[in-house]
Amino acid sequence: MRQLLALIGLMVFVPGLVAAAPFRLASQANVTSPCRPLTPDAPAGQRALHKLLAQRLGVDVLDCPVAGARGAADALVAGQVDMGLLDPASYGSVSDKVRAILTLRPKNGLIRSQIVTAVRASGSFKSLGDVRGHRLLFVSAAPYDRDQPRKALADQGAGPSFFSSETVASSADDALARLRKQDGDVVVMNADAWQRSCRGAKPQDQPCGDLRIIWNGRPRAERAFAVRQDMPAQLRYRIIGIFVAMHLEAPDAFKAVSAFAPASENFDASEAGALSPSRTIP
Amino acid sequence: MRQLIVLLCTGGILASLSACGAKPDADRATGELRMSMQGSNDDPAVVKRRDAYQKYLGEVTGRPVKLYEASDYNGVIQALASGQVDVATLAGGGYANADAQVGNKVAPILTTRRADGGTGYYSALIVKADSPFRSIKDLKGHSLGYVDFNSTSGYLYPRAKMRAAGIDPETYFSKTAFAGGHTQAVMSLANGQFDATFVQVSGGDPEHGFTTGAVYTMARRGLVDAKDFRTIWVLGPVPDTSIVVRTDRPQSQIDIVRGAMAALAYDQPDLWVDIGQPAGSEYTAIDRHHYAEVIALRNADIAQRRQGPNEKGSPK
Repeated sequence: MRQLLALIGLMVFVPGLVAAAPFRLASQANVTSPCRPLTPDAPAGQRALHKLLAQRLGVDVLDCPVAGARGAADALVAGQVDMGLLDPASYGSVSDKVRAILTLRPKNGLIRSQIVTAVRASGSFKSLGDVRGHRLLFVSAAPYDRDQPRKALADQGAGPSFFSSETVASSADDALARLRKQDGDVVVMNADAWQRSCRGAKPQDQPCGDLRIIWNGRPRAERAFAVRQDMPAQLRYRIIGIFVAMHLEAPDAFKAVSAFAPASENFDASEAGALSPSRTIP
Repeated sequence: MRQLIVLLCTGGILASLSACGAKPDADRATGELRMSMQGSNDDPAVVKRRDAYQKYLGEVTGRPVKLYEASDYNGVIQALASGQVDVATLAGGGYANADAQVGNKVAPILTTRRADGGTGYYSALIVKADSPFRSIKDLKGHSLGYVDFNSTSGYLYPRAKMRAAGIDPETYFSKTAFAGGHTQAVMSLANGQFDATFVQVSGGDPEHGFTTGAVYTMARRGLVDAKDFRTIWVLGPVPDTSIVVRTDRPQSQIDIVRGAMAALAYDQPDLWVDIGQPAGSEYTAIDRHHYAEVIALRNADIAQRRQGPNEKGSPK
């Protein structure tokens, strides 16, 4: 009987002993201060956010005030928070320990699609830096064909003054034809358009075999939620899974956590270096 | 001493359970993750995607992933509806069928969002290029192949849009039949079994043309020449295929699968394209509302068929 009582006592006691660590979410504040449970008078949206995360992660959630993006980056590196909002400047100094996981997509906006920049393979251009002062071709004036590639190039140091001219073609095929006719030196388009133009219609087709990609990548995120690189992958994916559906499952929580960018539609996952401030062109 | 050892062991087991989270009993998943994807083993892209998802989900969930192969739409639907699988890929029509069977026990969680922001594909009515057919009006009294009863682009949408155009699909054609899949529909058309068929097209839009879908995929495999077919009607966009889960599985596992799949396009962009996803696209979160129109179309189609054909069957 004594052993049975001891066992029952153990069953009751042990979970408390080994309770999972709380999830520490950084929040923007004027000064950094220690993590603490959310107070009952916290805004309803923030309470909804903490409630959702506590339910879905199965742990307590703590509010960790940090002084801006820099404070969040420092707290992540110090292991004082589990997730925080960073910008490229704050990410730059902690990129060896921290990675981006979530960005916000604007209402009716585009995803951070991959961008492809290509030149004639017969030419001498091997990198984005080589096409300085040459003629750039866009494939159309649609935002995903012009604005997003334009931003991606500017993020790499190839702003509007980098090229001698910028021309908008009528289609991807038109842009590639102009490139081949030397009526332009470099073409930029989203990866979707590149794939459509270059995948071919028959086995062994290589319609773009005469072209060379000199840079591809995504436009830099202006802000992203980031975690430590050593966060277990399952927890990272679990957090992403909760956040990407938050606008559908918990709109109030989504509104609260995206308050820094109020015209946002939803969270998207992101690559680790989405905030990387490094440039291809110095 | 032996009792002490037993107590310590018991404590250790309990500790290991509770360390997994605050809801160890309700929210732990053990054993296999069971997944199903519709598609033919003859299609290398389908095989590649299945294998890639199996490996990837196995790595991220820490569970062995068992693949339930299904050669037709209904196999996946029934496996999901009966709870034999935990996660599946389903087109809108298939999800609508599963939804009708088991309601909120299944839910779509992710679909593909392309670079242009769209989340749909199209349905194309195709004929042989050397045929005299130039519009659907020319097909009155001729034969039509559907893909599958559960196909969105190869059955549901075309029938709804034909009705909207004043065509009764039950009486307008001399013969209609199910080919069983998009590949089979194209092959049946090529072999003269049908005069026309509806198939899925994507990788473009009606204005710029398309580069993916059954005809283009088969052409790249050398099975057909895309020039042998002519598109005479394009419908859509149709809500794209989604990843669907059983909602009675642990929420933590649903979140992990959703997060891992949402991250795939960003963490492994080369793999994303290699398994046949459009370059520059991603998985974006959705819920049942995404397929409200498809569900309504399916219900309307079933009601129409029960009601029987109208007498005219001619286009407006």
